[in-house]
Amino acid sequence: MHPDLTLRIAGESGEGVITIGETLCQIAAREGLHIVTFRTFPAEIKGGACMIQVRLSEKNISYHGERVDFLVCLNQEALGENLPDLKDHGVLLCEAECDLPEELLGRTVYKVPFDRIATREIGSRISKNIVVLGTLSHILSLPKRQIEGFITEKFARKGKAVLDHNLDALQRGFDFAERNLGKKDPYKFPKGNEQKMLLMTGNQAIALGATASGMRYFFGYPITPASEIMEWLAVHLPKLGGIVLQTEDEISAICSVAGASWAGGRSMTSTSGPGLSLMSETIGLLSMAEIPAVIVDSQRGGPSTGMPTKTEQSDLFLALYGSHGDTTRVVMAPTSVPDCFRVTALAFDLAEKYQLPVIVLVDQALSARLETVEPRLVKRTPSASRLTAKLREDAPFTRYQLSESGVSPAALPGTVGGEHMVTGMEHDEKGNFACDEEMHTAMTVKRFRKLSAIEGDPLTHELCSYFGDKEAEIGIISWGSSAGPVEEAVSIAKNLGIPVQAIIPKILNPLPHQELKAFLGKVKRVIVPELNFVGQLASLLRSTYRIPTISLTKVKGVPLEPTEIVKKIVETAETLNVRSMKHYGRAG
Amino acid sequence: MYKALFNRHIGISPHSFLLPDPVVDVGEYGAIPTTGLTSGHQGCTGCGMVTGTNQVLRALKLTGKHVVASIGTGCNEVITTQNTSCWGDVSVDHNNFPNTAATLSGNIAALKALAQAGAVSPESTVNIGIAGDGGTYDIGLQALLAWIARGENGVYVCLNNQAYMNTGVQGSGATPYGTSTSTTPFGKVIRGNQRTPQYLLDLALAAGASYAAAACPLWHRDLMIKAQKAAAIEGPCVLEIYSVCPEGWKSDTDVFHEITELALETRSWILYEAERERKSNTVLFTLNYAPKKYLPILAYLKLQERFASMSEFPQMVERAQEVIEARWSFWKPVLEANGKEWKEGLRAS
Repeated sequence: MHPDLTLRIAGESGEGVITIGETLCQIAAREGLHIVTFRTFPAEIKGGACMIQVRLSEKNISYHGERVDFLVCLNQEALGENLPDLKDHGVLLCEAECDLPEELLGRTVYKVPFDRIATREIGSRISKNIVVLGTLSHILSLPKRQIEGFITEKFARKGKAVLDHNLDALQRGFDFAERNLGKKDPYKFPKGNEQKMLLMTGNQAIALGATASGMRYFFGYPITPASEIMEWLAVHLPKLGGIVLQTEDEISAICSVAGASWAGGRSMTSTSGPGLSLMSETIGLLSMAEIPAVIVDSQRGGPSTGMPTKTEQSDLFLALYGSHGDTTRVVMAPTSVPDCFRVTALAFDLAEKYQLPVIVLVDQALSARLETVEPRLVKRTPSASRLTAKLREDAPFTRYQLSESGVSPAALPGTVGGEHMVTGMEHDEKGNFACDEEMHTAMTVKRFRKLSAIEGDPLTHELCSYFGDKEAEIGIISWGSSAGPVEEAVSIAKNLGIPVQAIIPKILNPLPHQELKAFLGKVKRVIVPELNFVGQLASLLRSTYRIPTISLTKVKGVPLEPTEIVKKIVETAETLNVRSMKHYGRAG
Repeated sequence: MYKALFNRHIGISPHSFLLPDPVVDVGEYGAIPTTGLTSGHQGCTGCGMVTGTNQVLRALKLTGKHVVASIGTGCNEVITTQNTSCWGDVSVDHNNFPNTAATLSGNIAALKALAQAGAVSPESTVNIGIAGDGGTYDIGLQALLAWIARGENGVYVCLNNQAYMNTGVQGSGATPYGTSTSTTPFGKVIRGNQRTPQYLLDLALAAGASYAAAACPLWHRDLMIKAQKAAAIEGPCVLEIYSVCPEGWKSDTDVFHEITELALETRSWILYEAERERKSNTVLFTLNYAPKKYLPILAYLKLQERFASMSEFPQMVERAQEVIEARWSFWKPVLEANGKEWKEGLRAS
């Protein structure tokens, strides 16, 4: 009856809000449901408002939902902040002490004295969240046995007393609901197909994708929101014989990657905007010295320290152009958690095959997003490797051979007959410093030839997602985690009778020209929604294809909402009959 | 290399052989004028860093000087920037993570220029830089050592809570051996942090610092005297403050006092100062506190969950004890001169 349910749990950081959300996700994942979550982090180190939104569906979904069906508020502040996002027929479960505003009319409200049950009956204020879980399990008919299992798993390590406390809290929450709350709302937990799903965050999927692709050397420096990648690998990579080294800063991290990668190991680093800024010089070196590397940038609100716990897609220019000189690099942008796995794994193949740096752009919302992944999607082995030189005794090894594809065969350092120098100076084929006119041109052309080769490489095919009506005159081009809201907006517009089609390129340098040109040939208007102020992708598209674009930008630190995109679609639809795209004028 | 001399006297003193007069002794804590970080900040309950910074600012307030602070990114920035009025009458310049000392240099240059223009009197202002251990031991080290090497007048304060607490407790260059952090997790293959921290004050002295001192907020009189000395002594001065962090150390919030005392009694944290006489390039080392009875390191480890796993491995505890003994042996001449029994190799538990 309700195959799709969006819940939000809001409260103070430290109240266990996230634990409630994650437990719901675990239950749903075992039921085989599809999940997408969104969570906010307080800027404070301890305390501060936070929430987790969980959308559960029987079908595959890519967005966490705009307004919620079921809102759980643990305090008055959370209620005030989150109530506007509750649907008109939504349900509110809140702390009994909260004052309810008038706009709740017509909605179902359950009030439960969570605080009193936790402090007076159980004698432990921190078990409040488990009381909430107990209540929820009654209202939504969740499998209580399973919740008990999760709680046991989580608290067994802390001793029997703590565990018993929490199991007691669960039971009391459940009992209270059973005794006092009659089921007044129609919402139920959706039923899945019982095919167990994996549950992971974007960051974990990146770490897993890298590991599956043979990455064994990780160098990094702590930075929100990318730290989780390093933390996950610090736990798991040593088991595979890999190395995680925390360096003293990002410059060291990327240089260590260069060292390990030159020595033949698949290596990576992960960071956020400030770190990528520091790494810029070395990205130029990797490009010049032709050393493979994968750099993950989990974007956050910028510039400078900016808003470390908020999301933004404002590092595209830095990823595309950061570093001086004409540098070659690949820039990729996954759109979902399963995509994080696939794109990161592919990034290693491209880096190795073409011997250049590959930057993977995600953002805070995607990094921290818990999402279900089908187990079959996380099976992978490397599908490309570095071109190795056939060393001959009669001819000296030339590291930077001017080959047709731009890729020169490499030799591992320390190989007899393959001794060579990699360098950030402009060089000739042997690696000797060369600053004559012809050689600089020849080498620059060689390095850029690799980008054309990548564009035509079957590895990079199928790196675009398409949504909507293939005949539609209104087109949307977007990137990264904005793909979810775009997909949602396209289907809302369809219901409104406005046909729209969308393309989401997951590789942004080199751009997938064939696909984008075909798309641009079909549409009359192009809307480019993205999370930055200047419209970075729109700017790239305008300069590359000389087309007018309609930029939809947002810098609020939170993801785009489908209704915002729909509004732009409606506005654009009204102009369709007025002027042709050619005369539409400047975007923005 | 400098010539090291030892002060025979163990204890706190407002005198410095580099200064003609003693610094203002702080007297009663309550009588000290309030200034920055007294209220309005968002530090966690039991945070040592807030108290430490507050004490530095109070000590400088006593000298009557205006404080211009450059602060690096970190907890200190996060908890004081949502309500900047918590800094009181301190002027603050927040810069990027690596650049606290470099910004301090800029502030000092600006002060010189303003003084030349007659806009301010150089005697009325003190320039300080405040950063955490991550911003000092790791990413900010290059800027710090370069600043010291330039010999500029100013005070650099390192608030050492022994990991990156702001970003979620990742290990830093100041993280003790065996600590479990999110990037040095305690596992079967690798057991917690395998490194031992480098010694910041040794680095500072090697780079040419005029004054280097280790302090802790529990001994507020000592800390505040040191802050005043650092402000009065010419040249670059470095102050390292032991900062309890209940959030990252996974300790209770009300054992601030106990943890610091145990740190001192087990000699995990040593209170000392070093003053450099430039002409002869002599550094005089003063030990400010020597515990009457040395406690084994295990006593210190037990109060903090970050050491919980390590404490179960006697060999690791033994190794941690060895690190402490090696460090403490530096003070052998002073201890012997004071007739204190010199014990080699205390057992760890």
